[in-house]
Amino acid sequence: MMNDRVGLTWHAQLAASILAAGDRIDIVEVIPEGTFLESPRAHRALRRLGREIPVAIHGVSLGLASTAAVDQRRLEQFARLIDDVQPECWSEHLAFVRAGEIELGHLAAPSRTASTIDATAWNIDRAARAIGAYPLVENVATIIDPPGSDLDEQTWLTRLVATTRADLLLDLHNLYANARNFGFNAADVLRSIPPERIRFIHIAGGAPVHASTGDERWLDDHLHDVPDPVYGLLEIVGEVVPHRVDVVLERDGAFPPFGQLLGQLDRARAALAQGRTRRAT
Amino acid sequence: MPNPFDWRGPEFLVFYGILGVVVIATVAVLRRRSEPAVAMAGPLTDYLKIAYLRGGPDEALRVATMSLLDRGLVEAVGDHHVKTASRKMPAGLQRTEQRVLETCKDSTRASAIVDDTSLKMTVRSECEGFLVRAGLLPDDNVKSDRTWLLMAAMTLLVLVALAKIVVALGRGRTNIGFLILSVPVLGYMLYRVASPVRTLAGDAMLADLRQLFAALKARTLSMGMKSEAQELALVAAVFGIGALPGRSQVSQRLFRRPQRASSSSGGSCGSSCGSSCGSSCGSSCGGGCGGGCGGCGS
Repeated sequence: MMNDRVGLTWHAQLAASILAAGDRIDIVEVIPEGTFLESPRAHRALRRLGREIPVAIHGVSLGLASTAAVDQRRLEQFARLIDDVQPECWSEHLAFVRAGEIELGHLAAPSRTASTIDATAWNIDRAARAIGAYPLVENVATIIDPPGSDLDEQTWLTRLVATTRADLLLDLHNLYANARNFGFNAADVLRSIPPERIRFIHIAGGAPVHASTGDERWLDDHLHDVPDPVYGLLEIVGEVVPHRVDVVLERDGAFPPFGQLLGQLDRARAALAQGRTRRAT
Repeated sequence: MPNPFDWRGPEFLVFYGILGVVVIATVAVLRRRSEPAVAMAGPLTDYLKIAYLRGGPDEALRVATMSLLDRGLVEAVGDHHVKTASRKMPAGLQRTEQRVLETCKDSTRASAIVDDTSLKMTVRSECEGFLVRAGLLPDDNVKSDRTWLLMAAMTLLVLVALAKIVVALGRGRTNIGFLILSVPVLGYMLYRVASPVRTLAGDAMLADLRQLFAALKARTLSMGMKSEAQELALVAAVFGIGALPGRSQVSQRLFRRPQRASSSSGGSCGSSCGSSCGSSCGSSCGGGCGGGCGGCGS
């Protein structure tokens, strides 16, 4: 019995629903930027939430996957937040979010090169020193192949994991989206990642978008239900990962009736259990 | 060193006012130091206890009745009455909810539920002990400390005023009206600062809930009348029934007391809103009582 946990991204619009359905939600993931990052009062509210239901902090603004150093002021803000809230874990994206003074407003996939692996590992170490704990690092989705890349996603990700002490927050929908967009097999990539380094899972939904050239890309928009293949990947996670994992459904808007979200959590639980059963036999 | 008791009336009144502010500020600081600021245990998901913490037994009964309406366990009869929808008592209800359903077996005026002493005792016994043990409402020790603090501060203010009055009368002056008037005014302010309904931890708990639910009111727009009743109850408990779209007017109409005579209207507001909103909301309740006490305003 792995005691895997399944939960949801915290949104204030869903707050009452999440708390009312506490027996069916094992963990919530909170994005601190915007509401919770700076205010000590907000930190206290999050700490109180953490007494009710396990809380994970999920950053979107550090920009770890960059050859530029992560901003010290942001690291200090995160350090205060983590110290005050004492979450179960904290995580960030393997993305860059700014260039010089320009904020992209987007989690951009970095060029997949040896130098970005080194720079990202250096930023992760720096963040871990400032905050006192290594982040879980999340693979990102992209609709363009990052310019300047000389490695594929699988190689870049596995080499990075080998280089840093940070474990993976594996976003299965991002993996699925990139596999669709660039024609690789998501399950193969998933099986190539050292399973002992996979600690946390994201599932989400997306939709196709079309370029003016007519090319279709799958966009990770967090506004749609989780597609079936992602549950298939989750089964593989249950099969290969030897320890407990936390699975969080990311839904950031176009909220359906809450029962529908709970239904997706139930389905995730079932997929994970299916994989666990396969692993046990 | 000037002797304030030798000062003329206006100068002494200024001095007395400043003294009052200093005493009130000191009492506020001492109270903050003596009470724990944060109690992490708390009813984060229990709408009834949250409503009780915010607005006392009247508000808890109001929110409970609205929640039973949302769940279809009670139905509105006309504008002001409610009636239990089914004779069968559903399982899993809180004791207060059961008692409200029993009270509404026959069509009952909704305002009578809020005024029902027996129901108030039920909701008090269900909520108050828990909230006191959680440190969100003052226990006997905290109340005792507050009383001593209040008495000491009040004694100081009264003695200073009395001394000045004696000095003034001894010198044949009778312009002491403003000074006499200022004593109860400062006393009332002192009482509000020294003896709020909730503890600091209780205020913090409500503030945290509002922080966590900050954008929730927008979500309530898409909530159906009967679906997601637990969520609606939590929103009403944290922000007041007035925060629920379309519920504010329903609530005001439903809980409006019969206006038999002008004196009874005034009396009911004094007892109900005065106790459940006016005193308990204090500084931190803000808009939360707007909906809850709407019945008295009209």
